[in-house]
Amino acid sequence: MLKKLVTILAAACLLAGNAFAADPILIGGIFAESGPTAEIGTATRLVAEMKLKEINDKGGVLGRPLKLIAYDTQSTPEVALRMTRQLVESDKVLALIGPTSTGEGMAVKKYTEEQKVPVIMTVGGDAIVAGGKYGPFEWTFKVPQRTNTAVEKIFDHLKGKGLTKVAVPSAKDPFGQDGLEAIKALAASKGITLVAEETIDSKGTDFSAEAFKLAMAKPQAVIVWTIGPAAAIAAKNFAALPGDKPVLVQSHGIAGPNFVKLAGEGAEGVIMPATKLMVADTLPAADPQKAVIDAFVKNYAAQGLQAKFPMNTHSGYAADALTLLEEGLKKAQKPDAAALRAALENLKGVVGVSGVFNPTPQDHNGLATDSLVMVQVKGGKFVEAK
Amino acid sequence: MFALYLAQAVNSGLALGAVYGLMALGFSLVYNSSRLINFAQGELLLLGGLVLYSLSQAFQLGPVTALAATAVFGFLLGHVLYASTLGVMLTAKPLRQLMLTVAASLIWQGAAILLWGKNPLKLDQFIALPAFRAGPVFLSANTVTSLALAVASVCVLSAFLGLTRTGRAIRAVSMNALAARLQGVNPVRAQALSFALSGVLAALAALSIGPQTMLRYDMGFGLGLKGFVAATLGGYSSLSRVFLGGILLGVVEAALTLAFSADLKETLTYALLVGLLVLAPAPQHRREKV
Amino acid sequence: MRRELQFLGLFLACMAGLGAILPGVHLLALNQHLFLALNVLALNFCLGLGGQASMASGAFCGFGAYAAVILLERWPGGTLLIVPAVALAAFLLAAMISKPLEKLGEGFLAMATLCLGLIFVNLVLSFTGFTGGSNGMMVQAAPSLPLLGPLKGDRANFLALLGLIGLSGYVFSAVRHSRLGRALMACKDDALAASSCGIDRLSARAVSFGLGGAVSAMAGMMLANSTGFISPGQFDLGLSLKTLLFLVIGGPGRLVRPLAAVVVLESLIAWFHSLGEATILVHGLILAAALIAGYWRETGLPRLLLR
Repeated sequence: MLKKLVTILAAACLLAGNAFAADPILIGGIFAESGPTAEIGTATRLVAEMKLKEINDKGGVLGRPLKLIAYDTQSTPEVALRMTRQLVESDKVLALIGPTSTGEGMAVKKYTEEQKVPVIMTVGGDAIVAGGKYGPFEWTFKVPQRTNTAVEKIFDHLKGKGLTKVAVPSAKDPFGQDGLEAIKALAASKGITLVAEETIDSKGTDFSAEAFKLAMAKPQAVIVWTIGPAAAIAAKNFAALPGDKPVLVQSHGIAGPNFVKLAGEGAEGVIMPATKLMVADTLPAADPQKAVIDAFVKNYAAQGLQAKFPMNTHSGYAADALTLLEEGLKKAQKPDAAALRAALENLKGVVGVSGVFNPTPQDHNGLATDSLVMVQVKGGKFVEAK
Repeated sequence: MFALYLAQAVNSGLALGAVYGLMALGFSLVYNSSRLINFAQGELLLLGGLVLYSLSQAFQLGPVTALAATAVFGFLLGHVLYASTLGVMLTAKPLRQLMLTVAASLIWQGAAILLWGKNPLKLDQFIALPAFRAGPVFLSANTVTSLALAVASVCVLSAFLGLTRTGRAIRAVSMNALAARLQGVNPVRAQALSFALSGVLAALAALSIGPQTMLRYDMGFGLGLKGFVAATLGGYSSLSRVFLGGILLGVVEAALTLAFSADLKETLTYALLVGLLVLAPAPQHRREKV
Repeated sequence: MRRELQFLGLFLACMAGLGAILPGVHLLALNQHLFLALNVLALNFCLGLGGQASMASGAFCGFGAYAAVILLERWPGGTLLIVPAVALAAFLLAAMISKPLEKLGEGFLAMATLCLGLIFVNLVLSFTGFTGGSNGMMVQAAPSLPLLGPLKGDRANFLALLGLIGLSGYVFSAVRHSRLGRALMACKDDALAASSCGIDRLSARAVSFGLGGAVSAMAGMMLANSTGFISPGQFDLGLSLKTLLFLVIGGPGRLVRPLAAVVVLESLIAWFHSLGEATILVHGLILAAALIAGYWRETGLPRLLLR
């Protein structure tokens, strides 16, 4: 009898509790948790969940908690499209974050633009918000800096040091292609001359022949544009060149402990643009991002993520996607897709981990060169490059 | 200027060429004894390297122990591969056997992902040989090590196949399995041994290339394919020819990169293979069912 | 032949029934499985009829996809001309390629076609002007039929795929029970004897390889239309491998079994889509299991490892 009473009471409490709890706002997440780009995908999801918990602990958005429904895209555009359709049609999410690679992003974009679903992507390629032959981007937003921004940062730094002749080994994948195009487009206006270019295979194992060929053109700096181990191998090959070595510059996708570990001695002295996350301990107190970055770093370690996925320049993207979403919802005042989109397009000064965002209707990214900082590898650590 | 290019081509080419040579030897051993194209050859290299990596994390390995460990584990891995593929489908059609090696390569890759993760791992250089410089010819330390390992392997393998009884048994099976059986050779043992030896060769290849290029879960396929190209270049007949095929492939690749572009290099290498297969007389492949 | 076609009809009817009741996103998944099934049927022409294991089926899909997308972009109204033209081009290309490769044994043919597939991907990546390189291409114009209008949406793609499978299946059955089919069977069995009986091996196998290429190209066109986006990574070795493996599981030469194998196994694998890291391993295990089971079924009892 007592047992029955307790059960009824418990059920009643539960029901009452549910009545008071607000309906969560559903957000979809598509991350590559298997396949070639799986480390980035899994780390992104974990960061997204971490940030989501943070938002919910502070009371959620518009009085309601956020709920993330995440699916694995297997790094394939077809599966990414399928998962997106599931999220939009079956799970009825309000907006999406992810995916994590450009090919998937393009496949998803076609559908979400037609269905008018806001998507905040964490892909490196610019095609998703470039417009023109890549299709409209009214409902698509990008968190990582544009390739143009990173290239500008590099050029400004090189110009400042008087290094104007560059050679570029780039990968044949979307990221590499973006980089090469941006470098070619911006070179003249920044006073930089491209003396040689080569394509490298992002899955290749040795680039000493390419390094030698480029070195023959006597560049003052070499800008390597690829991600993953190929960048480290290229760094080693360039470091092994005899004679005067050109300054080695990497892309904005490299900064992280993996590069240093893999390239070994070849990493010493290499410079690259990175988000301020990489120099978190030396940021001046006046920096607008310092508080946000410090909190992020602390949370990242506290949740055990630092042990599994040591922090690199990409780590903050998912958190920023959710930050943008939160600010957008707050500005829109209601969980409606069109209102959210309009709000996202006009946010001002959203302080994130990867930079201070100022998106506009024409620029669905909103990060400028001051969101990046040129870092150099010294003694196996990243310090600001002077 | 040309001399510099040539020297560079030779250096880059030899580094990878030695590895291609070892892989080619492995392919040709298996092919010669069982007429099977081993799709999982690259995964033998991958797993050999990964096991070595784990060992090196757990214990301190000197050059001799590293070599010994490599040989032992390579041998075991090769045996396991045989038992799980050809050993299970001895009398199946060749196509099915090939497909089973393809499935095996997927399984091994999958296991590698689960056990070691997807992050590339750095293998230490256990055998530290000095770099070599003679005039314009410059061979980096890694290249010298790879070459030394590869050439030593070829010599030991030739000696084994030529001088020992088991070695001669393997050669007999590859020439005429039925006749060998009639002479008392167990062809199944010989085939298993070929697989095991090719496992050793693949593991040695991992030992030489690991420090240079890191171990990645998807590196097996590319290296295996290049090994196949090299074996075809060498004609599958004699060991030294096959090995030289590997070296030649490495140097040709480097030269193509220097002369044209890295872009074309891949296309040209594969076109070369297709051309070879089409134009050269096909190796004898009468299947002797025993 | 009647039996075979009856089974095919049954299969298509089941699919049609499924398609009628499935909601949007599941229909998309079914479409993707049907695309793979069509590609498996294409490979069946090469392998089941002609005895040639081709690892270039993915490349032919890609050829069809890229050709159709590029041409339709220029001439959006020209579907009726473009689609058959691309299929014909694929047929001729495949037939041409098969001639020098015909004399190669099974394993070497597989490797040669593998390299051809890799060359195709490399070419697509190199000619960025035409193909968008690794960034891929958005499919702007859908193929449109004069009375029915553009083929947009899951249902339209689904019906088109079913139609193509039906058509190709019919052609497959018809060829198999014709003189050409018997000639091919002879080539498969004993090439030398076939030649000495007066069969023109080169031409016969060129036809089967060509048909395989053409059907693959059509499958590629359907994939492009269904996904809306194509990139070289979708048509690489992975696709060819998957196709070959499913065909070998279902049985080369059988018409309906490989198609059913694709739909069933792929749906099964998709169920476990939260496999994460274990995906490749599970793929390999399922396929190895199917291969070994097929072998044991054929040989009667499980063979222990011979001592």
